[in-house]
Amino acid sequence: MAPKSAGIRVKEIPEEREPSAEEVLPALSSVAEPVTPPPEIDPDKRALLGEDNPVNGAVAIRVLEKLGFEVDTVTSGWEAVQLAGQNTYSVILLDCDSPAIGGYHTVMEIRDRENPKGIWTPILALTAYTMQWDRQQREAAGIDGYIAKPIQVDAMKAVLSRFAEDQSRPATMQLLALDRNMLTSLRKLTDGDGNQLEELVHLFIETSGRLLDQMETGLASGDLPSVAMAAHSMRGSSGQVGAKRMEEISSTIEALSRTGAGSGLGDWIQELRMTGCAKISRWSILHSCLPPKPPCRSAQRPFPAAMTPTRRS
Amino acid sequence: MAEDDPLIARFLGGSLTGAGFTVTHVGDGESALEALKQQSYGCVILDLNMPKLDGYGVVEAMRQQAKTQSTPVLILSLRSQENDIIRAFDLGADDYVSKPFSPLEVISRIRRLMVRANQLQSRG
Repeated sequence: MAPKSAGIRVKEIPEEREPSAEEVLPALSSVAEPVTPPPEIDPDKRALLGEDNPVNGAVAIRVLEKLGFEVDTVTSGWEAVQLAGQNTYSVILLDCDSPAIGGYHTVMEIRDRENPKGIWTPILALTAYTMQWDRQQREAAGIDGYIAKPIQVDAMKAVLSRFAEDQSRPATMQLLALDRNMLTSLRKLTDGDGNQLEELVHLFIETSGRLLDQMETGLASGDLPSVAMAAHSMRGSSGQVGAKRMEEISSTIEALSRTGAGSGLGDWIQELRMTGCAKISRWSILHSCLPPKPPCRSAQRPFPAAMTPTRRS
Repeated sequence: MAEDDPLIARFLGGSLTGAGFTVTHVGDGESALEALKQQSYGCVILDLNMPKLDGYGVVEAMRQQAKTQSTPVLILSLRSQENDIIRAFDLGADDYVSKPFSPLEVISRIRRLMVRANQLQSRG
């Protein structure tokens, strides 16, 4: 079977070559099922729906089928993770407000299994929470978009077709993978001591805030050496915690302020602040989603029992 | 450990403590020299960019005093240019690690520096 090059299901990390069909779809050869689909169903359009509310589920299934999707339905997060690992879906929809589906944890489990294969299946949340903070949290957890509940048929169609067209999403994927690796290695260094890890993360937040303030004050008063000094420190601490983008921006700010080129500095500092905020929001979610202790190699990785989405107001 | 970045200090300090070292942390070069007057240390870790007195200044001063002349010095810096590294060694540094660093590697290097210093000392 040829790789589904144009499909929205395979998102690769840019530097890597295109994975072969066997690598991307290891489970496909073992699936004996593909019987001839009913004529109106496009075989390339397969959706996984995780929804334990029968009413919402029925509406979602109807819309998906109308749009030509073949739908697999599950009523628990664990089933969703298993099916997502076995099959290839063009889109996954999860009820993120349901404890049984366990939105964020489920998504992170799916992403963890996809990452090594270079796959990024679009995941959409079915949710009643649509505020800015909710959206940021979802993005941090690896969710691409959302369909607001109660489901409006036209809105759902619009979101689905937008994701069918938009095929670029590797940036988030890399960021998440990086953050996840960073937190895991920090955790290893701190011997799985969650408090120490938390302390480091807090220290990073505090230090970054102080340095950003120093940069802004320095810029406002024309004290470029002070901006350079703060940017230098920021480069050090962000590099140390694996915050690559922050490290790059800090490096630019440091270079610009050392050469006395004040123009454009304000924008870079602003950009650094935004990047920092996004990172911190991803971290707080990733951190809260990490299992309490480093998973034992020999044992099956525990799936969080309480799959309640983390919410902060 | 002389390091003005609290995050790096906490990060490395925690790792060193975890590996069994007793760590004194100072945030600038002058305090580093002050601490070295008060007590002897098995190894000194220096950042280069520090307030008051930079890492170059500290290692230079250390090498001029009998008490700290042969104390191992590891430089830990964001600077990774050839001339920065050469200058550090010329002034008397024993090892140089660029940031971002792996704490495990730094610990390993420190252990080695300390073993070597002890061997040299026992040979007189």
